[in-house]
Amino acid sequence: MAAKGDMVYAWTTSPDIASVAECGGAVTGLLKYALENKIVDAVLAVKKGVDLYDAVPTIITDPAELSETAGSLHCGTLLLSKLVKKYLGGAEDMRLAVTVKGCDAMGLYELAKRNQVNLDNLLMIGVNCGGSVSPVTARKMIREKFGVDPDDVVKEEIDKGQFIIVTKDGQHKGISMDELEDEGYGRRSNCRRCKMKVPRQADLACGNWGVIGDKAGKATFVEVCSEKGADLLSRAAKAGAIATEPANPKGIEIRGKVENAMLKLGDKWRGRYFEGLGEGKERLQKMMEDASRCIKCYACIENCPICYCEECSTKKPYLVPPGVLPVPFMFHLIRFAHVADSCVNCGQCEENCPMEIANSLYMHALQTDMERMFGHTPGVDMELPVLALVEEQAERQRLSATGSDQIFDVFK
Amino acid sequence: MEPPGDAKEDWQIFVDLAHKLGLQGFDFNSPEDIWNDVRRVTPSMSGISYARMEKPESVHWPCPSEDHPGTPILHREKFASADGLGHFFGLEHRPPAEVADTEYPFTLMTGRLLFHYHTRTQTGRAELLHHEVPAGYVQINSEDAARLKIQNGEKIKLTSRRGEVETIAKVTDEVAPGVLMMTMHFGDAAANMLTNTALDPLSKMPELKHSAVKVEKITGVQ
Repeated sequence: MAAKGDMVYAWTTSPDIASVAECGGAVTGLLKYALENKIVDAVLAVKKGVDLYDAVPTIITDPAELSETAGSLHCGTLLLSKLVKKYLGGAEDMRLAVTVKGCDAMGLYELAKRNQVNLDNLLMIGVNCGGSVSPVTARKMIREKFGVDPDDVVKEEIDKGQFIIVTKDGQHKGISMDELEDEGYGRRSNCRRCKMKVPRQADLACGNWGVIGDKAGKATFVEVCSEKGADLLSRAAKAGAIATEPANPKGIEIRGKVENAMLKLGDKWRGRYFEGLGEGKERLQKMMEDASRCIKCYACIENCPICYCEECSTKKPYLVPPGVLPVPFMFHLIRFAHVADSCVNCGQCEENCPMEIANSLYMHALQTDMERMFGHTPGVDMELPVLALVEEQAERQRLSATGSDQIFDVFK
Repeated sequence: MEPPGDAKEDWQIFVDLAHKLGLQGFDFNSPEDIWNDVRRVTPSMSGISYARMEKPESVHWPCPSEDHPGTPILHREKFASADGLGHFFGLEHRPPAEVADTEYPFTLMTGRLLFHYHTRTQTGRAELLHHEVPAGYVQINSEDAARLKIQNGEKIKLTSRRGEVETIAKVTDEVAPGVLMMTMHFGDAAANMLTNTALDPLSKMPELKHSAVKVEKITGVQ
């Protein structure tokens, strides 16, 4: 019987899954077991679209289709959290297994705090993530730095500090991520700053870091992070859907070292990005200048896993006069005020911004400042945020009843 | 996007119509079919396949063949002239067909807003865009407004030699004194009731951006 805190090597016993999956296929094996045995009603995962630069979220109810989601894609820049709220009713009426990167898991916790998703109905299979690369950047990088036609690439991976591609004629080529990123290629800026590499707030945290010895490349390292995760692993193992063995102690150590190296790299990038922003008025000036290109398309708000209000304050004419250009900075101030303490640095506000405003950098910079001030870390557990409005309708009623304009009573 | 309710997609409606009219050459089964037909008759687009457009960097026209990389920036190396150079030449200034005078002392310009597209048949249905700019207006300089005792938000009457329009005054310094600005998006503030029909002799473009109008307060209502 697996228990919370256990660390095991796991692999699928199905030859079909093993042939399409990576690193032993434990994730696909576990998802298939959960779906086949009605532990969940559906699986939300990511599959390949037109090519390997195109990651497409997909809902699967037929276990036979799960192999479409096997393997990893690093050029998808998706966040699954808000899809659960927007398109799956917050998993209120269905039990859903979701594969989650750190940002997906953090986004789901923040949505749960706001009663927008039901965590009880979610089975989160965490996957380690060293970062993702925007499709356009990835293709440009492969053409310009690797000298390879991006359409000839059949597999990409990020391993041991390198971005590695495999071409259709079987050639492997790797270039150090540091070199690529110093030249403006490589991972998205929020991924560089990310420090949620092993999503332990999921039910299981899976990955290939720390799989050594004869199981290297043939098993998945699984850390059991909850009772729910332990139950799934035990049942799947007992039924023979997956096989497990205790993780090699040396492997556990190596995994820790990889994680630590990634965290240090995250700190380095935070330093670089935040210092580049300057402090105080200088920082504000930079933000205002960049935000002056805003065309009010609402992509940042639509895609933010923190934004959930029915009645968005940015649409109040007395706060943000409609039809005015450049868009009044109050539009962005409202986002900062409502999101900053809970920002999980998922990068969606920047990824989806058609004006390429560095939205995620500004919000993340504010979040880290607030974390230092108030000691609240978003996305890791169910602790409520410091400032953000949690029950929108109740809060609006209170404001209207009391005549107060103090949304957040921080001085109480 | 799936068409709403029982509606067909626009391309299907045209194909059905063409078949009803007995026209040849409309046997399309998908938007891609139609696009491939466009490629067949448009050399500058012929290299732009659906498959290439699926790639995130997409393709820019002119792209005359499947192996052509496309042209993100036109005329980068040379212009389409005999010697490949751009040629400057002088033009005699010719005033607009109609200029402001004592009877019609304002110059009316027309244009577009970021939030709407043409006559709003599409953008007018989008709640958010309607929220941004729900109705038409005329921009008038604050000095002119003060002189004519026009308040911001007041309904005023604009008259040209062609017609008249009543609309809301937006007092601003975004337009210079003597200049008015209206958009072409709104039927209830139809700028083209006022604009000139004079055509450019070469391009036949109507002179919609420049016409002479007068401004009057509307009295007795308010």
